[in-house]
Amino acid sequence: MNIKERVKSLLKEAELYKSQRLLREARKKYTLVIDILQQQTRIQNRDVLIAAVEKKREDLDHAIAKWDQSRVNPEVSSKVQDLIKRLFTTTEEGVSDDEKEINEAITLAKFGQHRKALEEFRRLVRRPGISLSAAKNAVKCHLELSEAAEAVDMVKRWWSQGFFTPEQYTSLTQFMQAAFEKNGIAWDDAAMATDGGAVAMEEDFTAPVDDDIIDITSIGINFQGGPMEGQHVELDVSFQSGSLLSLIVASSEKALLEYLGKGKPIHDVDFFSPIAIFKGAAVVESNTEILSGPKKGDFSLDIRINSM
Amino acid sequence: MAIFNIQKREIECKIVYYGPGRCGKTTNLEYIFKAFKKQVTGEMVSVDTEGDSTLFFDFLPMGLGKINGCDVRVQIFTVPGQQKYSSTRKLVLKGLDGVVFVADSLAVRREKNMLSLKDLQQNLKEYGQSITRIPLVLQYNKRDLADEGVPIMSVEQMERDLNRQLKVKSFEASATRGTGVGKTLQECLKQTLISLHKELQWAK
Repeated sequence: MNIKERVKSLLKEAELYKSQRLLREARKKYTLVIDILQQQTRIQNRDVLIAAVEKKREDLDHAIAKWDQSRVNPEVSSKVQDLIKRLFTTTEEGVSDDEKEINEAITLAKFGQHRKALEEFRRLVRRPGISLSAAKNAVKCHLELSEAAEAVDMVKRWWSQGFFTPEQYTSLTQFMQAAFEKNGIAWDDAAMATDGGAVAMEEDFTAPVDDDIIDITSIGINFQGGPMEGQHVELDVSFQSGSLLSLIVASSEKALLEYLGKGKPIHDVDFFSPIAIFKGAAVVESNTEILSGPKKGDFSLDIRINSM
Repeated sequence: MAIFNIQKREIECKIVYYGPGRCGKTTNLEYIFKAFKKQVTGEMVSVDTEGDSTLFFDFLPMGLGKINGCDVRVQIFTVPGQQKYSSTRKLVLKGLDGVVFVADSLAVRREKNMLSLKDLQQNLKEYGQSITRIPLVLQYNKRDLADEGVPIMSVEQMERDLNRQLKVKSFEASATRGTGVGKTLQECLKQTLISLHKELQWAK
């Protein structure tokens, strides 16, 4: 085979590989053609030919780079996500609906649909039987999405809302520490610290939270962590709207006011009602100074009952 | 793993098309979807990338009607063949009952064929299955490219490379033309049903 025929044949081969999307194979053939042409000094328009083949090879390089950089598991349509759940979730007989749903969300995560899976885990964390598993998987999803800070905030928020028992919270933070360290992310123990105490989910007695809430006349806070650890403080309720209680705190209670900032969860609270004392948890909704009237200078502390 | 509903006398099995990237797995399924309309029971679903490579899987549901008093349904999947999709490939493979290994006849893909077969063996092993025991059929695809003047491997060479130890049935094919596609699938279904029959005794 003379040089001209050899080059023609190699170019044909390269084009075929390209049409088959065998990009690296096509690139090798173009490179071979360029090498052959560079060794031939007598071929007419040699430089033009080399430039043309080099351009083809360059185009392939772009296509290869684009392919290499493409995401392995991009988010797909909700129709495909539903199909993934249906086709790849193994459901054994007798499993509960909660377990079935969490298995489906795990399947989505395995297929790299982390955003959608996260959405499902956030919904499922509210179900007591699977809250810990949902939370752990949600943390994994955040880490896959390079959102470590969001994972910390999310878990703290869930804790403040009383979704976990202290044991579950400990298990979750241990899991997070291991997952963070495995991913080379610095772990800050202090960020997950709590003021201790069990949340009402574990209490024997539960009362309705929200609109059916009974009248609370005063509350007692048992501090089990932080600067007021071991102290018990009682405060009168000045106003109540459903689960939202307004309390007046004297300006002299500086440590208390500083500690109970907006968003602070309070895990061990005694709620005093005319009929009984209920144990529960709450979160600080606002902490604002009273600017006028006889209580001017004191603070209005609004707390929301999470569980009771 | 096949699902056998004794009360309804229904059996559902899973066939997976495996092989290196760009070997023609999706083209096989596309041909089956067009040529076996009577058996196809739903839409073919393809999840692919911009470059037309399979991203997660292709899926095609089929119904074979009643066999020995049992309603037989088949789910056919393809795996993504590219190296970077190895974890998805493993997920799709889970619970399979039969495999079609599609090998690329192009000489430049020789090594990729062998690596993919090795990958199949490894993934099956991780699921506690053996490549020597699972219903398996080999397909030597793209035989038509010999007409284009590009180097393709001889069937003898492909047998030596891929089937020397396995000694399973193999078929020459051109998925773009449809040649050998039906025979490959039929043989895989036959072997799979025989194997399930032995395992589940569903004809009794």
